[in-house]
Amino acid sequence: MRPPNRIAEDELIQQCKSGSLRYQELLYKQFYGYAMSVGLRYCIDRDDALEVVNDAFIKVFNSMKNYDTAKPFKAWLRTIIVNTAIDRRRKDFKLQLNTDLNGAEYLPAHTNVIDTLNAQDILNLMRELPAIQLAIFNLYEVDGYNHDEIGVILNIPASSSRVYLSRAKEKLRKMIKTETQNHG
Amino acid sequence: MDDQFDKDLKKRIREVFDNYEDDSADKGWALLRKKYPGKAKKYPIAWMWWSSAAAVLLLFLGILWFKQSPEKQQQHFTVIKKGSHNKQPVKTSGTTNDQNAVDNTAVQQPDHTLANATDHKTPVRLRVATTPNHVVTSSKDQGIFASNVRTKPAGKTPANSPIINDQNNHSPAANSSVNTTTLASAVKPTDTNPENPSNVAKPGTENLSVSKSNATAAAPGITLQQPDQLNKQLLANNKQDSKQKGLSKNNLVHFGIYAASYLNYAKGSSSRFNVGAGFSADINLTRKLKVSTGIAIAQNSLSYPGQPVFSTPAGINMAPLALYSASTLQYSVSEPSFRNYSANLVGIDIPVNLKYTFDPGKSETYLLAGLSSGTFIDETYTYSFSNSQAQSQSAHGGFYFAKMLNLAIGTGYRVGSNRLIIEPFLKYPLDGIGSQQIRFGSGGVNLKFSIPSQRR
Repeated sequence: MRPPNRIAEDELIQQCKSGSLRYQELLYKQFYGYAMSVGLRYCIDRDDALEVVNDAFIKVFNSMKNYDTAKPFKAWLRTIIVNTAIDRRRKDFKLQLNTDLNGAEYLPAHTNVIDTLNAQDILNLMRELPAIQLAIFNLYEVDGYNHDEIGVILNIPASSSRVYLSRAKEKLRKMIKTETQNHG
Repeated sequence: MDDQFDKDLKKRIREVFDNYEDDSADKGWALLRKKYPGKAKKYPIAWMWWSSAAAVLLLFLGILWFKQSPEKQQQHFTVIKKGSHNKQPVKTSGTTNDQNAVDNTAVQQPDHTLANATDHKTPVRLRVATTPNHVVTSSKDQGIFASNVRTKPAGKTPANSPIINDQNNHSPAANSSVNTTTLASAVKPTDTNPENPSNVAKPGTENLSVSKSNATAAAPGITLQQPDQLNKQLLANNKQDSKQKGLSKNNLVHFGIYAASYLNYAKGSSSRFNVGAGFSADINLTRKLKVSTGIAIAQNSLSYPGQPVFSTPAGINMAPLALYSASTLQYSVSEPSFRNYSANLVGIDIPVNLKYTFDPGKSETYLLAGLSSGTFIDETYTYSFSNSQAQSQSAHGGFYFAKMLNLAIGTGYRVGSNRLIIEPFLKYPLDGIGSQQIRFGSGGVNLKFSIPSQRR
């Protein structure tokens, strides 16, 4: 349920289309949390994520006139944030494309531990992943892209995307297992 | 097992981040605004930029137009002046007895017959640009554009040139007036005197000039002129008439607005910079002499450091100081010493000056002298003492009449259709003014912007 003080999304968008700075601010603040939740998953730290989010919002404001209101705004915003984050980290991907894909050690998963993870725990785990694995994990598992789309976005073969995803998952499992063992 | 783990992890991640809250939106927005100023701030700057550019462009075009148009007018005037020896408008009536007018404008060829002269009372405007030849006689007093008349051997005249038949058997003398429209189409050149080559003009000879003898012989009043030339001449004559009559109604009064920056001065006072603004009206007496009057509002301030000037005829009212001293003595052994006295007066100035322009119409340099009257709408006198106390007094000194001598010299520069006048001036006090009769003057520069008279 939307908080009562929030302005209707349609009205916000319409006002932003007319270039109202006031409504742009309201839109920003209304979707800031969501935008950060996306940005944080792709970036190495909070400052980096904030820059990505702000750059994405600037793109949103500048492109608002072209936004099709028939489509959900959140999805559009998320796409812009993801693309901005990927562009920002693209050089990191290139460096890591040639790194050795070490096979993750198989560890039994402890599903009950997963339920206790909060946002910061997840981010901490994710940031242990190489940049390209992090991006592919997020794109595929959280944001719903398929491997073909990921291949286009990251300019890699779809098969490589599958491999990187597999490695990312294995690494996460290992890290969660390790964390579980450390804390008992 | 792994699949379940992955599903659980994915579910958890989505769950956590779908409900993610972040309270640093304000900070984030502040950071964004550094990169994204927003259209609300950009727009006025852009608007100012474009409007400034438009203003500069308009000013430039205005100057360009203004520089060109007087030249054109001057050219018209010059050309017409060459052609028209008299300053009278073209008279087309057949009843005119003005020999000059006939000389200049009337065209009559003894050998020509003008057909279809049905309306003898209609003034003639003859369009002859397409005529290949015109028979003219040389004259020492040729008409308009007489210098352009070039003779051509008669032999070059087309032999088959249509000859206008005088169907009505009108003799030249009887041909007093011809209908314009019929003439425009009917008049064709005929060279009936091939033995006189000097009588043949080239087709380019647009104007028909007439010898005195022919004109004299001609019936009075046939005036043949091209419309353009006629219009030019009429325009020129109108202008000349205006000049002859002197100053037109529009030029009787010239209005202007001005801003003044100046220093106030008075004996014992340090000079203080002040500003004023006003409205002026120049009433023409003669071409060079004008009465310049108007109204202005001006700030005047004076500051007398140290001891006040008691000896000044326009003495400062020291009553507040005396009162202050008496009252403070009750509480203080040492009487505070007078430290500073200042006067701030906002006045209405009504000057009446005589203005002599050295070269009217050119640089508009002038000398101005006269007297000012006026009043002060606000007078504040402040007395400061050594113990940092101050006492202010407001007053109203009434109207003063002709107590300020004005001297100025000015020169004008054209700015588009207007004129910017730079006028250094000096106001010299003839007597004390204001409620405390302070004798002060001022000197500075007026920047005056003359409002052009409406053009006709």
